[in-house]
Amino acid sequence: MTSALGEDLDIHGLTVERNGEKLNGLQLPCGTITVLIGANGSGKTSLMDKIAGLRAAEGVEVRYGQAPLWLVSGRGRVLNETALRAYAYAGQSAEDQLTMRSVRDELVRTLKPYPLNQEDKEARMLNALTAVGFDAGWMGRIPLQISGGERRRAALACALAAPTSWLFLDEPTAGLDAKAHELLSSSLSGCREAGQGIFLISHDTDWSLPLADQILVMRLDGSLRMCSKLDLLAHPEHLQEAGMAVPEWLQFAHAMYRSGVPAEAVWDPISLAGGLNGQRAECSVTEQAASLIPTAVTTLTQEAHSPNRHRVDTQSSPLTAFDPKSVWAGYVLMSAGIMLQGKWSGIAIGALATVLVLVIGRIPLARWRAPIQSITLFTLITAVFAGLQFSNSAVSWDWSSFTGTIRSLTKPWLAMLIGFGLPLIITPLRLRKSLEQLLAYKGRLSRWAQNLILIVTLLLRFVPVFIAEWERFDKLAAARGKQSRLTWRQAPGRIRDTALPFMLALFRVAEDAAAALESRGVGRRPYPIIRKTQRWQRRDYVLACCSIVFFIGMWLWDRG
Amino acid sequence: MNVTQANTNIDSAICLEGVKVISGNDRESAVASRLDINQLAITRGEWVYLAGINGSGKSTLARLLAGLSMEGVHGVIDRGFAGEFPAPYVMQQPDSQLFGQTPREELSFVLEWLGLAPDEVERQAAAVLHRFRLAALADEPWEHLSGGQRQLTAVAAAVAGNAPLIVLDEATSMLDDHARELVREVAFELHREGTAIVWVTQRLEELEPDRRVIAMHHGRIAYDGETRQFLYGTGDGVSPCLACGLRLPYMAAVAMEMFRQNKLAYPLPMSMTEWRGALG
Repeated sequence: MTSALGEDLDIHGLTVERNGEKLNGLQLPCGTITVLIGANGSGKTSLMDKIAGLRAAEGVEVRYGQAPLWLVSGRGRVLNETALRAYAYAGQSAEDQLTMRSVRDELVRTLKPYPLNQEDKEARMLNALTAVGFDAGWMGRIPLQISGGERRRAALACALAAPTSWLFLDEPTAGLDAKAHELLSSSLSGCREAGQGIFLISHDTDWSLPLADQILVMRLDGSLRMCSKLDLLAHPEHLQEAGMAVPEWLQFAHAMYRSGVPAEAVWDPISLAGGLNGQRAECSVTEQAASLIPTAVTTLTQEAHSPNRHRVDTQSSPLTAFDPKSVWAGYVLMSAGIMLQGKWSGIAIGALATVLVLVIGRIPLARWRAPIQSITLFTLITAVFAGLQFSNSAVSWDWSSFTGTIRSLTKPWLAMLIGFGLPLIITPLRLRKSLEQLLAYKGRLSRWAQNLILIVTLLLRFVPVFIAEWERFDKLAAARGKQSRLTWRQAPGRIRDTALPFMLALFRVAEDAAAALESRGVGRRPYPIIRKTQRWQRRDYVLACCSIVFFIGMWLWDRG
Repeated sequence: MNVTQANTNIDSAICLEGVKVISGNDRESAVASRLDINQLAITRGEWVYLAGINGSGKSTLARLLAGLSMEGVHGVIDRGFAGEFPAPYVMQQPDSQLFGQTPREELSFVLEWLGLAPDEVERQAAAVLHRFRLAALADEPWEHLSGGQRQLTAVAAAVAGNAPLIVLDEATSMLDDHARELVREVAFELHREGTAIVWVTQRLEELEPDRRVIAMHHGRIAYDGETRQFLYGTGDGVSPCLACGLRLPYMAAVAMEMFRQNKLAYPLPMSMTEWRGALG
């Protein structure tokens, strides 16, 4: 493999509008820079991840030259390693991923999937460092001991080092200084000259748009408009149509363009200044330009808070209307009633009741699919093992042991199904209030109870944040590892690549959360006095009574 | 820690004198300190921009001004009008600063800690949600909200307390233009009502003319003065913002170049209206 360059990127299964024409996909040629812009939540990063195979394709078909991103094999769709090796990816805050002992180790890790000889590798690593303004001395620096901006540059160097046809960058300049902006634009231009394709997400528009060969504007519904720089300069309203505001600088540039300044001159402030005349000279161009500058900053045409289009329309559970304590009591009584059962008929009634609760309570089980599947599998395997009788080198099957095991494991399994609904229905803060009311004596809580309740509820709150961070680093590790599926031998490496940055991210989240809590007065101000805000209403009593009746009924059934 | 908390007076300025922040493992190394401030005062009701690149010390200073506790602080800090409790502090990432499950819960959480009665908590929470156009989303869980909407909730939670000082640490950097404009408007409104605002930013196009900007570089104050002078300097064509490693925004770069080519004279334009005047 001499060079992987020269593979165009074919994307199918997207709605794209180009010059008024509706297309079902797009082709990005190598040797060009494409800038993707769009409002928050329109799905820019998800599109980049789909193109990189880091998230389910959802109908988006991608080919790197001749190589499709997904291969269809006997066991379903598998990522194609040739396609994975065709791109380098630097995600948002890519520097968070760097935890190795030296910048050199990081570069070596990135180049590992590529069959290069040592000489080529050394040359590529050095070139990449030069491209971000570092010299060979940076090889030995420890990523965790350099500044944030320098770490970002090291992460960008990793992306630049790989011999790929494509370079994917998600907000690479956020937080970088002026010099690093300049360095990056010149190295990206260099990559383009060398035939690499660049796909860039950046809201630093006055930096990124002048670099672009083509621009993709993502609308709120996820469809794209493909246009040139010139189109956008002539029609900045394309951005408004996509739910964005036109940045002030673009309004200004648009006015200059309309007044007759050539488009090429508008992108660069210095050449624009050369084309304009100021108050010290008379010139019609300038006067016209002045009259075209909008007086008021663009009015907000669109409601800023259209609910996220990715939202899943789950109707909230009717159980949220109840006091958490009555829901808990109901859960405890119901699962106890089920656990009491020794007979199949009783378990069947329990199962029926469980189904009723799941349906009426609209408990969204889908989110717990993975644990439910694994526990179900565990139950079945345990039962099969119980059923197998090993005696004198002969294996026989014992139905009664099998069904007995199934019977005793079905009961906790049913209780678990209902239990999974509880955290979704009772949010940690509601639980906190409810616990406080339960434990408070004359409106006061002891210090340890306060702290315990606060810690537990905050932990519950942050579980999804931690999961999201884990997924982010797993994604970054996958983008770097270029493996279509994980083998047992590679798994420890991948876990290490994910776990170390994840741990560091945990500390960061904890530090930020502590600062946010402190600024809210938590820990500094006295603990709020607990007032009875939630009273048991009739429905709470009804729920509790029904649960008691169910429990007694189940108890009698089992004895009768 | 050798922090002297001077006597605070509710109308006096926040004053920092000879303040250094030295992080634990830096003590031996050549890198002196994360922050080294000779003297800084912020008066009641002032609007201050705090600019600088990543790692310039602007976040450390912002946290110090907000009154958050910090390791290795030395010097004299008078919290003045900000009072003894920390000021609301909003960060870039929404997820680590939200503690409820929905916008309404988040606001109730803040207001409860301020010791308000339950009815009052409910009333004020609704009012703030309305102000930030979050009323329709008040009871949606976070996963139904975009990052921008979550961040807007974090800002709303900071505003809810009616504090005399609010510190926004690149609070709008993750927001799109609409949400950013909304946060800016609310901040301007609070400022008109007498709240002091510390607005940390790297986006110099956000700077409004005739306001104060403090620029940090290598942990020190590299510039403290008026915004226009920060972008354009004092008439010699040298921009103090470049000296802090910051990028001159597009329109400011045009103005500077026109000055160099002798086409524009000081004062150079900052806003669209001023540009109209300058070119017309």
